[in-house]
Order: sequence, then structure tokens, then C-alpha cells
Amino acid sequence: MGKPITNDPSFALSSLGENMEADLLAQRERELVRRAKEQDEAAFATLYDLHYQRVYTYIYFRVSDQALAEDLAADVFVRALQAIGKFNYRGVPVAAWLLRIARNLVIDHFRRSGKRQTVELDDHHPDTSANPVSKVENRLLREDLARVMKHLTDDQRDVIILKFFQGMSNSEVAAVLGKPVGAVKSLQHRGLAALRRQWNRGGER
Amino acid sequence: MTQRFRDVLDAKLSDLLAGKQPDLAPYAAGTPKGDDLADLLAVAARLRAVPVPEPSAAAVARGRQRLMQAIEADGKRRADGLPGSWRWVRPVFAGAMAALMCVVLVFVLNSAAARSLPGSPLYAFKTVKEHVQVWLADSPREQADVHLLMARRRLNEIQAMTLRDGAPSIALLDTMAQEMDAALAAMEDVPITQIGPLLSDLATVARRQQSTLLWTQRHSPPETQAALAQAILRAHEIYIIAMDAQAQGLATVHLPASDLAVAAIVEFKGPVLGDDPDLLTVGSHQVTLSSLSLLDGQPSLGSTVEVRAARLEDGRLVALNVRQIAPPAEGVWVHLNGAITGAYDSTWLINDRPVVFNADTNLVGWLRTGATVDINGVLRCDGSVLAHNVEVETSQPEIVLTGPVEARSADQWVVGNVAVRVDASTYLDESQALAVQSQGASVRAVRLNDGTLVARSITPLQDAPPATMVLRDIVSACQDNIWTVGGWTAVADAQTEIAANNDPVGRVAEVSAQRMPDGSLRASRIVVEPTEPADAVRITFEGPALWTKGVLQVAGHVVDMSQTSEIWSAGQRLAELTPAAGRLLRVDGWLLPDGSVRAETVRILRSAEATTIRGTIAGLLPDRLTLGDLTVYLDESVQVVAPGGAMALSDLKEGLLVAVTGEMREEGLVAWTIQVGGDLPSKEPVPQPTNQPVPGGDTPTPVPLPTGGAKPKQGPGVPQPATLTPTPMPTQSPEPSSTPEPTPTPTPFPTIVVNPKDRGGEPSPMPPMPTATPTAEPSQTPEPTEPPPPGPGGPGGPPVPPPPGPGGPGEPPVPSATPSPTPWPRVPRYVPTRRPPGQPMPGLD
Repeated sequence: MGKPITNDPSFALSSLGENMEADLLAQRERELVRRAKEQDEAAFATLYDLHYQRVYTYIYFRVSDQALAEDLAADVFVRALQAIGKFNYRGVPVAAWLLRIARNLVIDHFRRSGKRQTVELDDHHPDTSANPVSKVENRLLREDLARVMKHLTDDQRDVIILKFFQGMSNSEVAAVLGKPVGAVKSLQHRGLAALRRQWNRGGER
Repeated sequence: MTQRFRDVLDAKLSDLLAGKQPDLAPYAAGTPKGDDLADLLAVAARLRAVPVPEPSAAAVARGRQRLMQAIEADGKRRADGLPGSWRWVRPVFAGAMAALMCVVLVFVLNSAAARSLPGSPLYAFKTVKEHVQVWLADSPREQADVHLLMARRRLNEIQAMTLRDGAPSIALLDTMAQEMDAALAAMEDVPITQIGPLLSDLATVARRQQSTLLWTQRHSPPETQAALAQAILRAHEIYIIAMDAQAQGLATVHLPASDLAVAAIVEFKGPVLGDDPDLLTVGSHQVTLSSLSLLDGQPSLGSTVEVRAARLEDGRLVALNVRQIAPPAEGVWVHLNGAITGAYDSTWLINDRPVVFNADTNLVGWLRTGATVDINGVLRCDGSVLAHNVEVETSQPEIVLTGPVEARSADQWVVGNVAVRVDASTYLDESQALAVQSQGASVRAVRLNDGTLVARSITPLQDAPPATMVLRDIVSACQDNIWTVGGWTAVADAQTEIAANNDPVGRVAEVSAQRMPDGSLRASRIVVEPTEPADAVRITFEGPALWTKGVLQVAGHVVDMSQTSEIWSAGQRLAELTPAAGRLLRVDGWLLPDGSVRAETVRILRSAEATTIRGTIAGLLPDRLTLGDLTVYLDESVQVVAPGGAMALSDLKEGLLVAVTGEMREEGLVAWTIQVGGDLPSKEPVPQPTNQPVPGGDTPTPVPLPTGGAKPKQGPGVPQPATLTPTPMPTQSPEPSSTPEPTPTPTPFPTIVVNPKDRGGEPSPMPPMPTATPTAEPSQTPEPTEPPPPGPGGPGGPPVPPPPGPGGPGEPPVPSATPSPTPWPRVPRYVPTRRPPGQPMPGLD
């Protein structure tokens, strides 16, 4: 039926309807998970390529340390490899499962290191912008965000990161956090309110 | 069904993240929720502007390599397992042993870790156990229960650490706050049928947090105070939310974002000296009342309260708890600031609280309903305030326009050819006609600096009245009948009523004018208000008018009518007040420091009831005479009539038989007319100041004798008229004892020789008592109610000579053309009431 499913992440299905696209993506993901459970290297590599950026972004906004975020992001996939045997694909995106692992890793990291959101921002990101002013501006924006984000609770921070920097839906965020959708909305509301409060107090940087 | 704010916010955020421009529906811009939503959307937009970091290619490659290595190692491990049929034994055995060890370990550690504190090796186990509990909680209700339990434990740990280390752990405060937030988040999804007990638990935990943290605050070092204060405030907020939700039967608990930056939590007590709606003055502290404030009792003006407040970083105090510990105390000095909401008699309502004025009140400004006043005074037992200092804040002058509606739109009305702007503050009163169907309107407007009129209120009228305007403002020019008042020009003509005693320029005037078709104003009435005299107090009082040498006196005050703008009588306006007897006046004006009154308005209340007394003039002074024991007060308005024509007061002589008509008052008779000789009217007899029964009459009824309320001033040969102390404004309750009113003291009567033959001589024998004969005269004779004032020499001085007989001492009655009147009954010598009746006086036959 239709065109064969490929492993190319950039495979575009623009000629089909959105529902069909979502169904096909879910079907592809299910297939990847099945193969990964059978220790298919290629399947795992595909999952890595598909989700590393997202996992890294989440961890970076939590720890504000590029090198640490890169390491922890890699650890997420190693841990996922160890837990893949227990993972059952029930329609919840794999990304949610991976981000949950990432979240737990970050918690474990802070518990071990005894630190909370006091890590100084270490920003050496390869900015694709050729304009040095833009590079500085981007750095300042991230620093400003890190400053105000540390006043949020962990749950509020997670919701803000997952919704605004990962583009996840409420149900996906709820799956990552293990909370009801209503709680996600409330955390989103309170997180934004807390950010507003901090930005109003600190002013523009 | 009303949408929750968070759901609306979520929907708008979805639009924003999808690249659309969200609106604020269902909220409106400018409303609290609309503004809140707009703010949060702006925050979200700001988040979107933060660039997403990208990992380095090298890091991606490294991670990939690690993963591949891990996959390879895992494959190898799988391959190195137990041979054959034993392969399954190891995992099963290992699992069983692990489970057994876990059980033993948990059992041992659990009891030891329960009381561990941060820093203890067992605390980690305690934390792990709590995480497991959270993970095991399935339903929102269980999650909320667990988080509340965690919050309680954190609170216990805070208290224990304070006892052990002398300071709490700030990290624990944060953790406790997170547990409460988590509990609140879970409660948002609890069904309404189960939320009640959770709200109670939440309130209980919050309450305990407040009290424990307050205790902790008192035992903690300065560097922890700010964090503790913030935590106390947070607990207070949660408590209020829980109680409000319980009271309203809400299914969810929504914790508002508090923007307060608290520096400390303070407690103090004191009297409430000012009770504005949003600001409480307690002692020397000003405390803001907000939605966070819990009021216990009725902390009203003058009561003593206990306050717990959050001191913010900017020094302001926000009340958390206010508890009345003592009711309002009378005599407390208080301060009020508010609008005049009404007035009755001499009491003004400031924010609906009665404020009483008296002669001691220092008043600056014009009192009128709607004006804002600042008052210092004393609280009285009935809750009113006796004003000591009153200052009226200036307010914008208003213009009242009435006329046909020529045009109307959402932002402008044209009434009587005058355009007025309509804005959000304009009140449209449709009680008299619907706005859309009205022909006319009455508009109250204020004038802005640029000349624009802004309507404060519009009352549509069914019919279209003539276009008129009433304004009150400063007169800037007045020349050739052209008045310029408040920027408006009005022309006065012969029909214009003008009340202005002095140069009106620079003074405030009220102008009523008709708007002519050509747009000009024709003034129908102009009243120029007199300038306020310095150091004067507003006063209103009543009393009989007494004229002495052209000077009006009322109730003992000399009244200056040089600036009186209005004189009224029976609803009619008079041009001037002419001396006339028998008038009772009400004077409204300014009490000056010298005791005189500058009258603004004089109103003739009524003419008193006439009383006629006949008798012989026993004593005579320029301002009074006596008929027997009765004092008759005279002034220049008294008319003296004789058979030969009018007489002057100076023509009266002692011994003349006269009939005096006037108003009988407590202090005596105020004469209007004196008829000398001729047909004297036969009216009431002279009051009999005795307790002796009148022959043939009933038991005498006492009549009040002059009790000495008159206080004649002792001037050099010219006795001053009686003066009364200034009557204070009528009050609703007795004056407090701290401000006693001066009590008029009785003074002895001046020496009056009632029997010319007795001057320096022997008293003449009293005429014999008449036989008991029924008389046509009323037989009621009053008995004295109190002893007379002492004689000139005091109580031990010589007695007052007995009153003369009807025809004067030793003289026959005055013949008249009419049938001989019934002889006056004998007037015996006045005796004190305690002398038993029937006992003759010494010296009497």
C-alpha cells in the first residue's frame, strides 16, 4: 500500500494528508523500536540521529553547561539501550520516553553533584550566524534565560523547555513528566508567571 | 461554562507557537485577566526569541560512537551467559537474593531514616523512599496527599534543624515550597467530590507552616530572615486560597502569582487611628489592606488591633492578619480622609461616618457634598468624630447644563448648543428618560485646561427644557454688566438678580444663565460668595432679633450684615432686614474671633406668639424695665403707644401703668409694643411667684422665674444686653467630657427699686388681702419652681422688697373708661418654696 517506508529522517510526505502523515510516522517509529529491541544497530543509530538534538536541548536548558549537556545526552541513549527491553511502545512518542530518561539523568546528576540551578552558563555553541553581534546577542539571551529559569521549580522548568523549545504538545509533555494534562497547563501558567515576575524584577539585561 | 484561565492561556499559546497572532478573547484588553493574558503571551514570545542551542558535530559523533560501543558490549555480554539449561537459574536466583536483601535493607533503614535530617547519610534513603511514594501515587488525590505529607516532613526538618543548628536550611524552605506547589498542581485534577478534605489539609498545613516559620524566624540569624519572610508569606497566601476555595465551594485551587518581595514579617499592636478602605493606620504605622489580609473581628476606628504584616523591600507594610483586641475607645484622636457623602442638621458624613462640628472646629475651605476633606478629631462613643481640624481639598468646579439634545454619539453629546465629551467615567443616569429617546438632558461637566467639557454625569430628560447653565467659579472680570466667570461670559440685565456686596473680581460666584440662540449667556442670577474671613469658624444659630443702636444682636452675638448675600422670609427674598419686633432669626455665617458673626444668610423663621402683660413700671433701664418681678426687655424696635400718639422709649417713667405685648421667653418678656394708658388690653395677670393658693382658684401652677440665664455685663453706666454663650451646632450625642461647654452661671439681678417711696425710706404697709371672690381672671397662679436668686447682697443680704400691689405701692388703681377691672389679687411677698403654705411672713399683717 503506498510508498515503502524508508529510514531517511527527511522523508517528506507532503503529498499526503496530515493524519496520514502522523500515522505513518507513528508506524515508522514503532518499527524502529521493534528493531532496536532486537539490538538492531541501525535502528538505534536512527533513533539517535532523530532525537539527539532534542535531548541535548532539554538537558542544556537544565544544566546550562554545553559539555555536560553533550555528555549527559549521550548517556541518555546508552541508558535507553539498557532499558529498551522494558519499553513498550503504546503510542507515546519515543521522544517522550527519551526525555523522561534525560530528566531522570539530570536529577541524578544534581543529586550527585549537590548543585541546583547555580551552574554558570558555559556557552560556546557554534553559532551559525556570521554576524558577531548576533552571536553576542544570542549568548546574552541564553544567559538571561538561564538567570530567570533558576527561579522556577523543576516541573515548571521542564514544561517551559519542552513546550517552548521542544515544541511538544501538552499530552507529550504530560507523558514525559508523568502528570495529567491539566497539571501541565497549570505548570505552564505558573512557569510563565514566574518568568514574568523575574523579568520584571531584574529588568532587561 | 466559564473557561479556566489556564485553558485559555494554553489555547493562545498554541496559536503563538503555530506562528499565529493570538487575540485576548474571551477577555477584554484593559481588564485584569485580559492584561494578565497579554503579559503572559509577551513572556512566551520572549521565550521564543531565545535561540535553541545546537550541539557540536564532534559531540554528536562522540555520542554516536559511545552508543555503538555500548551496543557491541551489550551484545557480547549476552553471548557470555551460563551454558545450557542453567542459564535461567542465575537471573532467577540473583533476582530472589536481591529482593530479599532489599526487604531487609528497607526494614532496617526505614526506621532509622525517619528522623534523619539533611546532612545525615540516612537522609538520602529517606528521600528515595519519598520518591517511591510519589511514584506509587496513582490518582491526583493520592499525589496531593503525598506531597502534603512531604511538605509536613520538610517543615518538621526545618524546625529540627533550627533547634540543632540555630538556623534553618534555605534549601529545605525551597523544597517545602515545591512540595506545596506540587500538591496544589495535583489538586487541580481532583474531582470536586473529593476536594473538600484536601482543602482542609492544605489549609492546616499552611497554617502550621505560618506559625512554625514565625517561630523559626525569631530564632534564626539575620541572613535567613528574608527567605523565611518570603516562605511565611507564601504559606499565608496558600492558606487564604484554601480558605477561599472552601468558602466558595470551588473545585480547584488556583494559586495566584505573588509579586511581593518581602523583607520581613513584623508584628505590632496599636489603636486604629485611620480606617480608609485600603489603608489602616495603626499607631504610627500605615498598613495596606489587600486580598492577602485576614481580618479577625471588626478593626474599626478607635479600636486596638494586633497586626501581623509583611514588610516589603520598599518599606511598605501589607497586612496579613489583623485582629481586634479591644473595642473602639472614646476620646481617641483619629484622622479621616475622604469624600463628603452627605449632611444633615450640622453633621457631615465623611465616607458615611458622622463628623460633628462645633465652635472649636477649625475649618479651612468650603464644605459641600462630593468634596474631599482631611479631618483630625476625637472619636466619640457613638462612633462619630468631633472634628477639630477640617481641611477641604479643592475640587474642580462643575458646570450644570440643561437643555435640548441636539446631537449624541458614543463620545460626545451636544446639549443646549454646548458640546460635552463623554468618556468611560461619564455616568449615564436613565432614571428620568431613556437616552435614546430623550429630547433633553441635564449634564454635569467639568472643564479641562484646554477648555474641553467632560461630562461627569448625564441625565436624559423626556422633554427638552430651555437651554440653561449653572456654573460656580472665580469672577475674573465684571464690567458694564458683562461678567466673566470661569472662562464663561454672561450678560446681566435689569432682570438679573445680583447678590454681591463688594467688588466681585477674584471672588467665587455662582451664575445661573440662559443660553440664547446666538450662543450668548444671559444671567438670571449671580450670587457672589463672600470671601472667607481669617480665623473664622462656620456657624449657624437661631435666636430673637434685638436691635440696639442699629446693631442687630441674635442669641447674644453681634451680627454683621454688611456682606449678607441672602435674606429670606417665608420663602421670599428680602432686600434688607429692617428692625422689627418679634422676629426669630436663623443666622448662617462666620463666627469671628471677637465673638461677632458675619452673616451670609439670614432667615426670618417666624414671629413669636404674642403675650400681653399689664402692670406698673416698677423699674426702668435703657434696655429693660420691670413689671413686678417680670423683666421686660426693650430694644429700638419696640413701639410705644399712648393715647396721644406714639411715644419714645425714653418717655417711659416708673409708675406708669402699661400693657406690654411681646414674646414670653425663659429670661423674660421681649417687648414688641408698649401701650401706655388709654384702653389697656386686659390680658394675663402678672405671674404670681408664690405657693399660696389663690382664693377660689386651683393650686397655683409654677411659672419659671428668671433664673439668671441673663448675664448682664457690667459696663460703665450702660448695662449691656444679656448675652448668651455661642450655641454649639446641634449634635446627636452628648459632648465628650473633654470638651465641656461653658455653663452660664446665674448672676444676681441688678438692683431695681420697685417702690419709689421706699427709696431710702420705710417699706409701706401691704394692702389688705381681698376677700375671696371668684374673678373672671384666670385663677391659675404659678408656683415658683426654685428659689429666687440671692439678693444683691447675696443669700444673706437684705431681702428683695415685696412686689407692689396692683395699683402700685400705696397708690390707688388707675381709673379707666371701661368697667373697673377685677382687682388684681394680692401679690404677697415672695417666699421660698420650702415655707409651708399658710404661714404668714414676718412683718405681714
